Amino acid sequence: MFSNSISDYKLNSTIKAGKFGTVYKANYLNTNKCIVIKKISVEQQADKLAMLCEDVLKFRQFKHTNIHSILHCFVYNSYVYMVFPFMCFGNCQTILENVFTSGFPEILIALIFRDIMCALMYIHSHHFVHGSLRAKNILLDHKKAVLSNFRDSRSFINEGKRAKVLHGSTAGRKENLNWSAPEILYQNLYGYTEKSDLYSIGITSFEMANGFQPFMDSELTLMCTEKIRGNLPSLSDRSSQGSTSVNFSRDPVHSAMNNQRTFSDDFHQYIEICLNKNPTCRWSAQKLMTHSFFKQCRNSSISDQVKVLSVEFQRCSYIPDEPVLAADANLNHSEDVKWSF
Amino acid sequence: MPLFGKSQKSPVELVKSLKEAINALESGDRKVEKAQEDCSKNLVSIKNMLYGSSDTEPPADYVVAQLSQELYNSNLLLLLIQNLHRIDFEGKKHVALIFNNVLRRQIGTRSPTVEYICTKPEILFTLMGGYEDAHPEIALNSGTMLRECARYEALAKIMIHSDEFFKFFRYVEVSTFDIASDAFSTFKELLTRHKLLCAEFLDANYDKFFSQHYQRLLNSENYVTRRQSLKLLGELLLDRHNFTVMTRYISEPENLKLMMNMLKEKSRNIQFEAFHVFKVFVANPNKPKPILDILLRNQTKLVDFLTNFHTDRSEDEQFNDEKAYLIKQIKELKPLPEA
Repeated sequence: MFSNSISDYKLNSTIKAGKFGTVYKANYLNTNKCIVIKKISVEQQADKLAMLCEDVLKFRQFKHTNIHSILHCFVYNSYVYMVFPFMCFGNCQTILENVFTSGFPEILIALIFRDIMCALMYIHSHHFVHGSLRAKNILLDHKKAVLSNFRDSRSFINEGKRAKVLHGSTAGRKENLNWSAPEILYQNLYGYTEKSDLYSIGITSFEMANGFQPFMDSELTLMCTEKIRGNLPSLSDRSSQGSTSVNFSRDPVHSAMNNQRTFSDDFHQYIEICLNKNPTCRWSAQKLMTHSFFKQCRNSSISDQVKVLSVEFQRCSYIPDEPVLAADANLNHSEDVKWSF
Repeated sequence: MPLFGKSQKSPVELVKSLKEAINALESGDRKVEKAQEDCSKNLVSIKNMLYGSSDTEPPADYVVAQLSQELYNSNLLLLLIQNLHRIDFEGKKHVALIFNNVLRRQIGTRSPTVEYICTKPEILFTLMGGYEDAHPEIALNSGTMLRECARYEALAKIMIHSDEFFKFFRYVEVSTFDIASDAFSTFKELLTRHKLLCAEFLDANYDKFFSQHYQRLLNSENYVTRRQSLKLLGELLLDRHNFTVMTRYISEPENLKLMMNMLKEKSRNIQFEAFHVFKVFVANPNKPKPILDILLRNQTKLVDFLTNFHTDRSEDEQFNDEKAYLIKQIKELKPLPEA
């Protein structure tokens, strides 16, 4: 159990600072446990505040080793503090930007996705769709990968009934659309199911293997038509040399270098299965777990790979602890007016 | 019946074995792990029976009817809720899913589960007690069940008229953010869902509700509680069903003072919410003398203050119209002729 008093926490360094919130690496003084604290100002519009509540409640619904859990959440002055476990390497998008700029090694991708697949099986078996799978929402530490961010997750169970499909776009957040399955983009009466998460897994695989986000520089409409046509980015390796398929690489030097490596046939096939345009033919998370792509995980683990790649991973360890000044927002005081009662 | 693999238990058997597991869990004489495991297993089976699992169809009506009947007869719903804190994490969610499904059951225009719970109000009171600090892990599960219950007027009526209802004033104020938010949404649902019921309740319990309890929320140290309760107050007062309550509220000078002070709170969002309550005092065509006196005493200060109030909200037309109207009203205020 964690306490509701901020004086029981020691904020060590700032991980990220945003407009409404700051993320700190911190220690819980009563147990000296290393944690992450998200400090969010509640002095925001009413709908944003309501979204914050919803966010926390969504986090609370899941408990699984491969799901980023919220440990505690409390109000202090005009801030909400959310306590999370500390994942030392941060999210995979940042790792891609800072360390593996031309993509993760295949074995690590397989290991990470095995963990994420476990999380997905859990979520799907509880009749939820995650809705925003991407490298940014996968966190990594020495031992495991966890799935995070449930803002766009939706449940099939509503008002005591289970729906067969979901409708509408998942909150329609523009920044996640590149990862969305075609059936979500259609927004038609057929709706979509938990299979849409597997499509996003496919797109995320490209992201993790190639080191850049697919469709990053293309227009939304182009992205949409390409997906509907089934014209997808390819894994940039030896086999993609001279291929005519659209390659969404931004950097020719990169792709020349990438052409030296080879991804296994299993990996190519696995992605193909994920990106099946027809959601009913797309494999479920449970079935994908049996795919031969995951065979390579048998004799390895994330901690082994972290050791092998320790030089690389050193680059993404966080900045050393430095004292943090309490960042209090300036609020406008109108105490100077005195009413006469 | 298949030779291998599990055979399907009937609703009667499921309910019976779940009840045994719960009893064992409660008395703690058998090994707790074993009882918990049995409990989870039966809860999953019942849940799947009601919702269908991912590869099976939702059940036939007679299965649901039989299951519900068994649940009523065995008194299992109450037993589950009373022992919610003893059931494991996933099991708690399953209890809520089962409860919400059975609650929605309809035969024509009748809701048999609602009728059943009316005869067993302890179910509701136990659920409301789920927000107590003793077991924070059941608060959110209790909340989802309570809000489903609050949709039914008969159940909302029992809850709002119970002593447990006033405990919500404590639940919504705790500093654990998720629990307080959840309690607040249940509290709000109870006060706004069934307009006539709520209006009658607020009218009959005006002093206890507003003067003794609500006042405290508005002065709460918890920023979120203060802001949410101020917003809810505005919504309650502006709802036409609550006309008599509003008339009473805006004739009390203490309330006006509080709102005027909140107008100059340091939080801009609280200022803004206070504005929406304050405007009702000014717009009242029949202001009682004490209210009028306060407004007159601060006439110029209020005009200045409002002129400079949230000037950056230029795109919010309604707000600007209301503000202009208030300024005009206050400028034109005249003392009552001496009688």
